[in-house]
This record gives sequence, C-alpha cells and structure tokens, in this order.
Amino acid sequence: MNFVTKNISWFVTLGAVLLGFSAALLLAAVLGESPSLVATVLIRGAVGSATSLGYSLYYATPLIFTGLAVSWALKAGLFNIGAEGQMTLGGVAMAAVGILASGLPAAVAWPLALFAGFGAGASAGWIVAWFKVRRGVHEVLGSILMNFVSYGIAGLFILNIFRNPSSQNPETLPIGPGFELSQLSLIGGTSPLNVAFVFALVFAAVADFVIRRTRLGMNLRWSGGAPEFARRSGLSIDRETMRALAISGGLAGLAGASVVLGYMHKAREGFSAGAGFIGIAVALLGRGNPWGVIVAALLFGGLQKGSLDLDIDTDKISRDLAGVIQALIVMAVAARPVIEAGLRTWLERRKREAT
Amino acid sequence: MISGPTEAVEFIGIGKSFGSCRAVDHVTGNFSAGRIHAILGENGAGKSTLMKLLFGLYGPTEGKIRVKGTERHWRSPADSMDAGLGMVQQHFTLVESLSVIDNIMLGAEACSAFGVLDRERAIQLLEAELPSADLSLDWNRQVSDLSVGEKQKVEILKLIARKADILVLDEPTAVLAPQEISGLFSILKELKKQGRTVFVITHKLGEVFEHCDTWFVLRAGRSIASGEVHQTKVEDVVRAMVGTNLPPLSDLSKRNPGEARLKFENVSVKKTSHVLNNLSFEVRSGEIVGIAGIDGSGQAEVVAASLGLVSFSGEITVLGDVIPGSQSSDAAAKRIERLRNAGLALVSEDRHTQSLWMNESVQLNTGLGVDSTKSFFKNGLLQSKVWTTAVSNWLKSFDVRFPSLEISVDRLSGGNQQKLIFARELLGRTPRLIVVHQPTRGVDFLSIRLIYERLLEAREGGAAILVISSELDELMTLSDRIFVLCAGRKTGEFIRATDTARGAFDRTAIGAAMTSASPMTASEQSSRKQTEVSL
Amino acid sequence: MELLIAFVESVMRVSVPLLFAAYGGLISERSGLANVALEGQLLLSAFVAAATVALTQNAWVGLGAGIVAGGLGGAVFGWTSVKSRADHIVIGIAFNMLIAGLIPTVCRAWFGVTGGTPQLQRDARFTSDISFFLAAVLVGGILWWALQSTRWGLRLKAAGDRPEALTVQGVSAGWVRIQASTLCGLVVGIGGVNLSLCQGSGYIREMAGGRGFIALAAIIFGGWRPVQTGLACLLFAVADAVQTMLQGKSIFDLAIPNSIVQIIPYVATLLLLAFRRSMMSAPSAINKPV
Repeated sequence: MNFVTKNISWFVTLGAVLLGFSAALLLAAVLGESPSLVATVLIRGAVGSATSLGYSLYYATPLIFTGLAVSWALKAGLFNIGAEGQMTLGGVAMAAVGILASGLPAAVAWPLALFAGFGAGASAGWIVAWFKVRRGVHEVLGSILMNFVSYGIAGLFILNIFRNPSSQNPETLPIGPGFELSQLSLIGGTSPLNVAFVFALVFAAVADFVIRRTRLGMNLRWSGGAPEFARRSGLSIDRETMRALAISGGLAGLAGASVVLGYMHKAREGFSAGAGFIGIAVALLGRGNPWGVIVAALLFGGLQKGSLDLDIDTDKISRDLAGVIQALIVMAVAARPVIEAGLRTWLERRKREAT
Repeated sequence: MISGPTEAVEFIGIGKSFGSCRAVDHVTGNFSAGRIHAILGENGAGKSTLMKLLFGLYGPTEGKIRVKGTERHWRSPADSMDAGLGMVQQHFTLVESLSVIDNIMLGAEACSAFGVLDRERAIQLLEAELPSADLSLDWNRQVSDLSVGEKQKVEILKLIARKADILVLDEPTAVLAPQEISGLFSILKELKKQGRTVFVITHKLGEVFEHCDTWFVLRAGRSIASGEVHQTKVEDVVRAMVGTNLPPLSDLSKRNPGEARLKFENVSVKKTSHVLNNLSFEVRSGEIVGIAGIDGSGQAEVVAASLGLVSFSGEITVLGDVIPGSQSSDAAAKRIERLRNAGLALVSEDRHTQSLWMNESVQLNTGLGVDSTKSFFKNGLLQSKVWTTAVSNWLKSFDVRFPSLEISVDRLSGGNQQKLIFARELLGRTPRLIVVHQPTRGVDFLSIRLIYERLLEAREGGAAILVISSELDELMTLSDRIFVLCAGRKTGEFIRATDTARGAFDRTAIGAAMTSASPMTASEQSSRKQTEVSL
Repeated sequence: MELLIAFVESVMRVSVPLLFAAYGGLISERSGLANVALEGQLLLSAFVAAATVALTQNAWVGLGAGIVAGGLGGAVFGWTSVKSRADHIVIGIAFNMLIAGLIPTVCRAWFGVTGGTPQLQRDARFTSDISFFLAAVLVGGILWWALQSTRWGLRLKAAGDRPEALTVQGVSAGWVRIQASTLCGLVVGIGGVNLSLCQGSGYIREMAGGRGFIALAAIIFGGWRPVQTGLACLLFAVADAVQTMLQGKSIFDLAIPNSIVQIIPYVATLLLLAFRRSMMSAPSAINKPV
C-alpha cells in the first residue's frame, strides 16, 4: 500500500498507457477486427525479431530528439508544436550541406551536417519566439503556422532547388559519402538502425545534466515555473523564451539525422512522417524528464513499427491505429493530476476505515 | 420584515477536515438574528472554512448546522441561498466585463420568452428591494469602471436581490479606506435594522469594537471564546486570538536618516491615463518610509518603476544607479541583477507569483535569486552542498518551520512562506535598500511580529526601508514617515510625532488623503496589466 | 471586371469553413475553453458527412450526420478539458491526434482505403456556395445578438471571464463550458460538411489544411468579438483566394514554385496576427480550470 502511494504517479502513468492500448483494441473490435490479432501483430511487429527490434529503435531515434525538443520548451512553460516543421527544415539543411559539400571527409562532414540541422531548426524556433516576444503571437499558433511555412520552404528545396531529376520520387540528390552515418548492428538483423540512435541517447543525457545541474537549466525552468519571480530577480524572460524555443527547435532539427544521414542519404518529401507531432506525446508521457522521454520514445517507436504491420497482417485496421493509441495516452496522462488526487483520497479513506 | 426564532444560526459540534488537516474542529456557537456578528481569528484559524460550511460551499465532516431553528444539510450553495443565506467572498466574484445589473442578476436572470434578458424588469425588481439609497448605483455601468467600494456594494446587492436575510462578509474591510469602512458599516447597520443577520469575518479589532454587536474567536479550528462587544476588553480578545500575549516591539524613537538610497523625482507612469502622476519622494538609509493608499492607487507601479520594469518619465535613482525611463527587457534584467547584488532586497505584493516558485522545494526557493556572487554556482554548475548549508542557516535564523528542505514550498503556511522570503531577501545579500509590499498579508500574528522586528533591526543597521501596505495600522507601527498615494498622486505626507509614543500618526487625516482624489477606475487599472499572449 | 467577380466569389467560397470554424471557436473561447481542436472538429464532421453520403447517397442526411458528429466531437473535447482540469491546449492537440488517427482507421474498415471516402456524385452533394455563405453570416448575426441579449450569452461570458461568479450562484461553470463546446462543435460541423460535400467531392486526408488554426487566428485577430472575427475570416480568405489564383501561374515567364504559393495563407495569417493594431484581451479565465 505504502509503495503504491509513494509511486502513485508512475502507476497512474502506466495506467494511462494501458488505457490507451485497451481503448484502441476495443475500437479494433468494434470495427470488426480481432483485438488479440491486433495486439499480436503490434507486439510481434515491434519486438518479434532482431530486425523488428532494430526497426523499432530506428523509429524511436527521431522521437527521442523531438521528445527532447518539446520537453525542453515545456520546461520553460512553452508549448512548441512546431517540431514537425523544424525537423523537416533540419533534415533539408543536412541534405543541402551534404549535396553542396559532397566531397568532405567523414570527420568534418557529419558534424557539419548536424550543425546545419540544428541551426535550421533553431532558426524556425527562434522565429516563433520572436513573434511571441515582440509581437504577442502565442507560440502554439505561431509554431503551427510555422509548420505549414516550413513544409513550403522544404518543398522548394526538395522539389525545385536540389531535386534529383533522374528520380521518380519527390526527393533531393544524394548526399556525399562522408555524410552517411554508419549502421549499428549491435543486435543483428537487417534494419536501418544507425549511429544517430547513439547521438540521441547522448543528447538526452546532456539535456538531463543541463536541466538539473547547471545555471542555464535552472534559469530555463525558473522562467517557465515562476516568471514573475524570475523577472524580479533579474532574469530576462524574453531572452529565456528566445533561447528555450531556439534550442528546442534545434533539437527538433537534429531529428532528421537518422533518416536523412543514416538511412535515405537524401531528403524526401514528408520524411518526417509525423515524428514532430508524436514528439509532443513522447514529451508529455515522459513528463519532461529526458530519461522518461527515452522510455516513451522507445514505446512509441515500437508502436510505430508494430502498427506498420497492421496494414499487411489485418484486413480492417491500418497503421493509423497508432495515432489513436498515442492520442488516448496523452489525454489520460494530461488528466493524471486529477486521477492521482482522486486515488490518493480514496486510498487514504480506505486506510482510515481500516484502522 | 423578518420575524421568527431569535437564533439565526447555530453550529453544533461542526467540523471539517481536509485530508489529515482539521480546518474546523467541533465548533459550537449560537448567533441571534438581527445583529452584526464578528468572526475573529488569525489567518488559518478556520474562519473562512466555518462560514463556507454555513454557506454550503463545503460539506461538514461532522456536526450539525441549524438555520432559523431548522437543521440543514446543504447539497450546494444554491440550497443555502434558497434558505436566505448569502456570502460575499474576500476576492469579489464579479464579472468585470459586464454591467452592474448583469452581474446582479447572473444566475437568477429576469427573462422574457426564449431566455432573452429583460434588464428593465431586473432593475425594477432590484429597486423594490433596496433598503437604502446608499446602495444605489448606475445599473448600466461596467463593473470594471467601479471603485473597490462600489464593487463591494454590487456584491451586497447581489445578496439583497436574492432576498438573503443572513449575510456573510469575508474580510470586507481589507481593501477599503477608513472612510469607506464606516460607509460599509452604515449599510450593514441599515440591513440589521431590517432584521437581517450579518456575519463579518475579520482580524481587525478596531472595527469590531466600533461597529459589531458580538464577537466569536476561532483559533486553530476551535471555538475559543465569544461574547457581547460592549462587555469585553480588547486585550482579552487579542489573547483569545493569539493564545499568548504579544511581545512588545523595539523602540522606534531614535531616528537618524543618512544618504538617499531610493529617490523618485517627478516620476509619471502613463498607460491610458496616469497611473503615477508626478511623484517625488526619497528613502534614506536608517529610516522606514511607508506608502499608504487603497490597493491599486499606483503602489505596484512604484515597485515596477524602481526595478525598471515599466516605462516612466522623470528620474529614479536606486542605490546610486539612475534607472532609464525606458529600456529593453534584457537591459532591465541586467540592471535588476546588478541592483539585487548591490543590496536591493525585495518582498513583492503577491508572494505566490512574484516571490516564490510554488511547486518547487523550500531549498530551491530560499536560494534562488540571491546575490549571484555567492558561490551557489561555479562555472555555471550548481554547488548543491554550499546551497544546502547556506539555506538551512537562513531558514533557522528566521524561525521558518518546515518538515524538510525537499518539501514543496506550497505546503508551508502563509506565515512560514513569508518568513522564508524575508530570510532569502535579507540574508541572501547585504541589504542596503529594502522594498516590501504587503509584507504581512495572510500571515499569523507571531510571524508578523518577527518580520517587524527584523525590519526594525535592518533599520538600526542602516538600511533604507520602503514599506507599502494597505494595512494602515502596520504602517503606523513601523514607519518614520508615511505618505499617501491616491490615484497615482501623492496626496499627503506625515511624519511620526516625536513627543508621543507609538501610534503617533493622525489616522483621520491619512484616511482623508487616501480618498481625496477621484479614484482610478479599474479599467484603467486593468489596462495596466501587460497584454497577455493568449489563445 | 469578370476577374474581380470571380475573385470575390472565390473569397466567399473559401471563407465558409473559416467562418463556421471561427464562430464555433468563438463560442468555446468566450466560455473560457481555449480551443485548438477546431481543426480536428472540421475533419471529423467533414469525414462523417462524406461517409454518410457515400452510404446513403443523400446530402441532407450527410449534413445532419456531419453536424451531429461535430457536436459529439465538441462534447468530448469539452468534457475531457473540463473534467481533466488539464491544459486545454494539451487536450486540444490530443483531440486532433485522435481524429487524425481515427478517421483513416475507420475509413479503411468501411471503405478499404485510408486516403478518404469514395468520390461522391454531383447530385449527392451541395452545389450552392452562396447559401452556405449566407448561413454563415446568419450564424454570426445570431451569435452577436445572443452574446449580449440572452441568458445563455450572459452565462457564457461569465464562465469565460470569472467562472467563480457562476459557481457562487450555484451554476456549474464547467457545465456551461461543456455545453458551449458542444454547440461549438455543431457550428464547426457545418463548416466541415461544406468542405467535403460542397467544396470537395468527398473526404480526402487532412482536407482542412490548417483552416481550424487559421480560424483560431481570426478569433484572436477579431478580439474575441463576432463581427470583427467574421471580417478577419474574410481577410484571411482573401489570402487563400490569392493562393488559389496564383497556383500554376508564372510571373515574367518564371514559374512560381507551388510550394511557395501554398504558404501564402499561413504567412499572411502570421503577419496579420503579428501586426494587428488593437490588442484586445482574451477572456480572463481562458484555459483556467473551474
């Protein structure tokens, strides 16, 4: 009992995840598909073989970055829902560098590409922050509108400027060999899992350290948690907002590395595949804690891989079921404080009645 | 108008617990009809909870309530309103953007067919109920344009429109000037004459002894004592409220002001109209200057302008640093940090948003924003050992009671929170200029004493102190000089008389100055709020 | 001249979903419920309307179904936001994700494909843009009147500005908000139906294209007031009409890339929002739990 009360928030979070899954399975049943089949396909698709597992980790990689990006802004009390656009711009910037400087050796090439990706995402984040700080446009609206603008700009580069004329697909020319990230074959199988996954873990660890142990992280959280108090102690909230959204955008900008540098070796239209939006769910489920973000990203990465098989292995259900599950989890997690308070009262009453 | 049993309200062993905390603990008491009853007690003594139980905003954990002789179990406030009860909350529950009449009829609207409002009829019905012309207002004015006193009238009118004959007012005088307080009580006496029963929750004894019929003291949730006002001595009531005799304060008589540490010269702050108008004053080292005035007369702007957080004209000098009349937010931030390190201690008006980070730990809150040259960070990295040691010492010397350094600061009582802030502000730097705004709002008597003592010590130590408060008693206790702000103007200045002892200010004259200019309307006040970025 | 008439017609046509979404959103926002779920509600009603018509071949049944679906969506969003006491923006985003996942899932189960409903016959659709436009203007007028002259409007504004004023009168502000959100969904639903049964010939994936967010921008631009919000919608519709006109055109023999043309409405919205003159404030209790 004591164990339960102490860790109640983790139990409620776990409950939210289970609730999301069960509601989606119920939906599958309503639509005339066997829930047990759906569950089996999801699990087998995610972790059924070394290749599947590799794919799950591959899908989790951009989610770690976008999850970190959204969490970083959330720490400052800001809602960055522009990760999708920032990721797209970041990926295009990486491809652009990889095409323009295709002769560079690996030692310079991929750091340069990462830098470009971070810079492009950060610029998009900075623009949103500028509109908020200087012109009073709420960052949620600003970043949503910036998403559409980013798709357009990315489209210009992919379809016009760097288009590969010899390809049927809407995609750019290939990047130079020095920019390609090497594959990771830790677990065997043949998946596109690559070094970007390790980068993601490193960035999460660094983010965690910065947030908890440095003045930079303290000021970030302070400006979000108690802005008036911070302002009266000599912190510039405007500067913190700019910095927070720029770094958040930069982290989202890195999310394309795994796809663009590690797998496709070019930028294709729509390569972000919703990772920016799923990043919001990852951040909320991970409760803004970088380690929580990793766990949530692994869960949703596995879900994304598993759901792909739904298209093939079931007659009536598609990969889009993953979105339903994620949305339900977010709703349940958002209601966590209320559920937790209710549970606490109930547990206390039971304890009192028992004694 | 109302006849019936003489007991309007009876509490029989009533109690209310929140979790493990007993807010109201087996309270018993009788209150007769047609009188004004004062419910007294410290902050957190359970006064508001008791009245919310009576009004049905909370359900009791145990015990019974009898209203006009009948036992009652409210399911919601709607029930108690039907039975003739009404409550004016401490923070008004008015919709600022709506007119007076819309506010009065909200929830019980006069309508013609299909829910179309019939404002004419609502006004007729209300005017038929009016007990005295004192309560009349322009019914079509927007509430945000009313003064605080007028808003309070609207709240009372809401109850009268619903034919309430038992009225509860929670801290009704906290926001009023002395003259407005007498105006309020004359209305309440008018209501009493009609046979209505009035409960006034308060901690100000002066008005109890002047205007009320009975008193009832709560302490730590228990009923301690009660009686008829005309048979009681003030000291007995104080002892009942505090549970002990209050220690006397140190002497204020020695006064030797030195250099000016805060100086305003012809400072004006203009939004849609002047919120500060040509204000000049200075605070010297070794003296305490008080600013009196009704809330929202420009006090917040004095603080904001001193920090450079609003644009102004004129000249402000803080600790020898001239504050520019307008600057970028980054420049303002840098200057604030420099001033804070140079010895500017600041206790802001709203401690929950301006002085604390509510869901963070006691440890973090005590160490945040202190002199940044102290070694809480080294090369940008947090030094948690240094932090913990310093913070523990500071909290101890201000007698802050807390279960652990890790506990979230919102779990502390108001008094302990405020002591924590004072500890941080006065010990986290060498204080040369101390600006405190509403230093004791929601704080218990013993903590108030401790805070006063520490301020007086700082004065002895040569700090310049500016105290801004809407509690006139507080200013008269602490200040060497008091000036009054009214609608952004200085409307009076008073110096502590040297030949008499404490209380050597002319209360009536100060009160007159507080209402002398035409009041700033609330729409002017609200337009001062920074435009929020919203969805 | 002909070009001008065509342009005005085009503005009126593209403004319809914006107007309905904005008026619906206005109801919800004035009750204190910050609404970023308009996009999802548009998509939901557009899909349900098209799916119903695909199964019944009757446009009027589709209209009814679309409106009811919008209302249900609004009720779900309102109930979840109020009861969870969570940030309305989080719930709104989750709601949009839910709809974005739900529609293709159901679509595949019913029609075998995830991309959208089958093409609808011309006689199973609505062809009169102008009647939708007039209906939108009518809704705006009623809203303007109801906000100031009815009990409903009074309580709605109270819930948005100072919900405690209702609570102390024994009126549940949360319930006022849930009702407002439901009504919001019904109104937005008409806009969704217009998308799939009038402007389009069936539902296609993501067919709202951010109009829900642009409508939200229009509400803010219009200072949360009905008339100004309607005018803001028309202004944003102009940008959209310009975009449609420029598609595939070229200036001085230089083809304008479509990617750039397509972002015109979003850039225009962002800039108009940023350089708006008046900074009317939002309802004071917006996005605050009750």
